[in-house]
Amino acid sequence: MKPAEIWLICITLAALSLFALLIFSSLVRITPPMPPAAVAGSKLWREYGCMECHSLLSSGGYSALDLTKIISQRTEAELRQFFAQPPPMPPHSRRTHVGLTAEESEKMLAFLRYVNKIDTRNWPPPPLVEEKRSKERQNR
Amino acid sequence: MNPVRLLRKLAAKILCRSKRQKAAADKMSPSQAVTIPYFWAPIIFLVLQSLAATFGALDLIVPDLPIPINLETGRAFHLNLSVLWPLLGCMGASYYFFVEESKSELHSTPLVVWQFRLFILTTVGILASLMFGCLRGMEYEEAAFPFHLGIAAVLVIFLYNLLRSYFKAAKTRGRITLLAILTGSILLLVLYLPNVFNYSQPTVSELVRFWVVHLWEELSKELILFGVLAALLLKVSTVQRDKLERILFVQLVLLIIGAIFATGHHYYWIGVPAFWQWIGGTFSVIQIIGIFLLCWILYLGLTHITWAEVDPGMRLTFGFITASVFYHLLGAATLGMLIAVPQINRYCSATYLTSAHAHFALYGAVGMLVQGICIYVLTRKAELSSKEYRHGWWGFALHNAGLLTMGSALTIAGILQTYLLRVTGLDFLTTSTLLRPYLFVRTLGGACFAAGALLYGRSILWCFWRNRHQYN
Repeated sequence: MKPAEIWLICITLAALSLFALLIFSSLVRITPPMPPAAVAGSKLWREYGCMECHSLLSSGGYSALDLTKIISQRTEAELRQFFAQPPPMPPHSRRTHVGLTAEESEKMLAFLRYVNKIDTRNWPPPPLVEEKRSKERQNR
Repeated sequence: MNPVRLLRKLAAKILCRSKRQKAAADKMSPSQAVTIPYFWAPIIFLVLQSLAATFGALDLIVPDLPIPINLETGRAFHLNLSVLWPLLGCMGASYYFFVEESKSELHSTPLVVWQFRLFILTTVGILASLMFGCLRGMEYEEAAFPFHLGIAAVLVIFLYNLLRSYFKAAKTRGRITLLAILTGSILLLVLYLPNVFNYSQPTVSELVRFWVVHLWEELSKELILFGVLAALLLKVSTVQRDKLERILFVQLVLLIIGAIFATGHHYYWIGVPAFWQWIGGTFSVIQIIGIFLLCWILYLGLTHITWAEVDPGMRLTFGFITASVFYHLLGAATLGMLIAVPQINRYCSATYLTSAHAHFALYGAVGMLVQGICIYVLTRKAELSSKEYRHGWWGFALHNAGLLTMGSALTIAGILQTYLLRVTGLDFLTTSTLLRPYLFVRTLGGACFAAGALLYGRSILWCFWRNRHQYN
């Protein structure tokens, strides 16, 4: 073996192993376990291509609302209503959001409830202005 | 020397056609001749992708535009192509310059041909399945299951052929250029395999997805392309092998360590421990040092070429390579580093700033380099006529003006979106309405970009088509 070959193999293997170790230590800490309804909802989420417009866990499309913490931001009745009678998507006036059947929307809600529980280190952040105001209130 | 004067002198040398120049009549070995389809296909795919994207961008701003394809399919089409054609170009470039550097033929040329056919079949299959709405919720890697196996099979054939060729060429074993290409090819396969499957847990899905979205682009393809670029410079310039290989080796080490751990900058908010913020942020800085080394390599190359003897095709190639290094600095190093700082990323992730970075770094840095190499190979046996050469440069200029307009509009839209949404707390719909003018400018930029691609693509492909018999 040539010295350059040995060096490159060693460096690549070392970096990849350490990376794999870090990934593993992240995987084992993933909580909570996913309920079956959330798994079914995840399938719907993926197959409808929601990620192409919406973002979840800080990645996805940029043209629609981030849905990571949507369960804390809207009531479930509002979301059910949204799926049952999807409104038009601006700037369009005729083209509407994808609609879901009652069964599908329960699955989707289970998935979004699950995502809501993931510890995202306080992401998406509350608006900076509000964060400052609440800090000032605490100081007083 | 004054750097501005140096740049001007260099630009004048690259742009001006000299009368002394040699016609491009490189010898092409049989193994190299079979790789030719790997270079015209990416140009066609790029034109297709940029036209599709322009319509997609229009759909976001024009109310009720009658487009038969829905937005999610169109976007998946655009994103998938943006990963697939640079992959094809990288594989072709690997083969072509592997032969150049190893001074021997490839292990099997029929495998090269079959690999190309399988790749095209898979890509067309992926695009067709997208039209039928087969999505799986992995951005950049949308496709029905069998097509993932197709891509994996292509990568296995590619790696097998390269490895056999490497061990066959005993004399040139250990050359850094060959090792760069080989390491890149191994990592392409290793990082892709876990992505064949779907993961329902969103955190796991994100963890795995970035092994392709981040590590393919910033590690595997970069390793291959840096190896290819060094091989190209060793062929066409008088730069010393020892010196170039030494810089390249340091760059490879920085790239491997930097890029692997910098994957962490995609993991900040996906539900993993906080140590990823430290790792992602720190190693993003190391990635940048590699980019400065790339600038040094390009500088060495440009100053060691006898420009008076250079053919038009190669001049155009160096235009693209220089542009790629510029976008490495602008999109990958500057913008990429800024949005990789966790405190900044907390506010600007999932805004149009990410999109701006993706356009500059994915297309500007990686794509432009691939296009440059494609132009180089396609003009080896075909001399560009002076009209085609002129159109080539006009296309190049339009293409870059388009990319810069598009990227700048997205950057401004991203900063505004961050400010309105995450600082002042304005609601999403009002913010989107306020961003519409910038998205309109983005669409204009996109149209300009597509027109440029069409213009230079037509010149290069037409020149190639006229001289196609020479390649057989």
